[in-house]
Amino acid sequence: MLHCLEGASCVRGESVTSMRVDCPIELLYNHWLMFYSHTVLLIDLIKDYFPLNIKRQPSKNSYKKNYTSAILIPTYCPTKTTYKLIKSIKRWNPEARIIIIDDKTPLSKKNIPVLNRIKQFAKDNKNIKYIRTKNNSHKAGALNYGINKLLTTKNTPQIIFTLDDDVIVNKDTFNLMKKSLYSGRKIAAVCSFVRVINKNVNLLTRLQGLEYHSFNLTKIADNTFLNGPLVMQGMLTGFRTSALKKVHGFTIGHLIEDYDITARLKGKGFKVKIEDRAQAWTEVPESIGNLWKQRVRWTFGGLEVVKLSLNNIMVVFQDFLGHSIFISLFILILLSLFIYNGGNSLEIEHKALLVIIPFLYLITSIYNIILLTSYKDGDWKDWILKLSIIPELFYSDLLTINLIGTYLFFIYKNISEKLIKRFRNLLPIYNYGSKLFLKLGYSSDWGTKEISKKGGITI
Amino acid sequence: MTDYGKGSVLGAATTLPTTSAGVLLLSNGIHPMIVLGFIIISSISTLITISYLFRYLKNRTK
Repeated sequence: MLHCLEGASCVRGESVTSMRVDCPIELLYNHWLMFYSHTVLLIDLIKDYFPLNIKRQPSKNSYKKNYTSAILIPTYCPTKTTYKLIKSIKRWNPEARIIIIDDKTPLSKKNIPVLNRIKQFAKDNKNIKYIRTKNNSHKAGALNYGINKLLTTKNTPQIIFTLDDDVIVNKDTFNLMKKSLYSGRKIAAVCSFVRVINKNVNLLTRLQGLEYHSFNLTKIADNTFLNGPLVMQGMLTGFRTSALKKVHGFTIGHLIEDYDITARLKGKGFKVKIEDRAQAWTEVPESIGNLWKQRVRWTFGGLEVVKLSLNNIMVVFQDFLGHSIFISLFILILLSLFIYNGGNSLEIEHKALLVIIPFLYLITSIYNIILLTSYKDGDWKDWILKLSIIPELFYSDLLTINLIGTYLFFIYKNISEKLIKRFRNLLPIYNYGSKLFLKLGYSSDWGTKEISKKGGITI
Repeated sequence: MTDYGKGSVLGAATTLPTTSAGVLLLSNGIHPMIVLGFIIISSISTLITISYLFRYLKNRTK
């Protein structure tokens, strides 16, 4: 039998059920008291019998400040920006453990001064370490080299950040990413929000600035969709060390190792996300030639990831969907050139298209307005650029041609490499074809650093 | 930085129907099956764009 709670209108320990009721309000109050006390008891019982169910709920505040982390910066031919990056990380995160992995930079007159400054800075700070790979192993290899070093030390960190050597970060970028990484039990990786440093250089960089902002919005939209965004970009991403161990690190020799590792993490049941408050800046290609090579690398590498994920297509679903729609559309356009119906198209179909297309245009326009209003780096020129449509149309046409060419190159590479294994005589023809593709701007060796610094290296 | 989002392949796939279908509409004699194909692709593209829009508005940090 329940007894009156403090403040209830009952006399000297009378039970609630035997209380004298004088008015309806008092009756209502007594009923509320009974309901309240029963609910409290019930919750206690549930907690006693099903404690795991309560604890399994991921807490939004599960982040502890004492999570240990390390920051890996693979570099090849570092520049002043690399040195500035290391200094800024150190200034804003004094306790951060930073490892600079020099991917066997050639010891030339140009490189030695910067390398020496980095080495000296590492000597002066006990938390900073400079290591050099034995052979040039590209970005994935250099990262794995650094990860292996961390795993063999006594104090293996719980979080490993990987970033490019030409990035600029904010004071709170790493802390925000750490918190985000522990905002859910299954989150394995968190990437930063990308901003473009050189967006005002020319028309091409402005268009890329808008495009990169659209990437950010897409990632934010995908935060709650199919285990998260498609790519945790190599520019700046934080990983749980335990998750990196489960997927055995990065795939060496892959053109876009960041997309590859994201797909493999998702394949293991992990989630990934973008932290839109954690900002970082990067540079975009300033010429069409460099942009072309970069996109060939992205698309070709992306197709490799899709090919490897065909047995688990959901980890690359957005990409698979994009390719499927694009290829279907391309086939339809080709068919329309060859199949002629003598002007007897159905009236109703044309009417349907006339409804759908303006509707799609309207939706795209709303998307663009949201994109522009949320674009912090945008100015009136970006508004004119976006709303005038034509420059973006040329830009997307350029990327479409690049994409179609990459499809052909991908098919050529895959089929011919299989044929060569069986018929060695075809090797000269294959080499001739590869040279032809190279002249048109298609190669499976393009890398970001290769474009700006030195040939043959992908980092 | 590598990305592979709506801005590249999916972007082209979701915005291209507007222009290509529009151009095709201007020309006569398109086969009904091809027009039907455009209707299907344009509808899928519209749904994808709407879905992105809503998910972004829901997930963004206020």
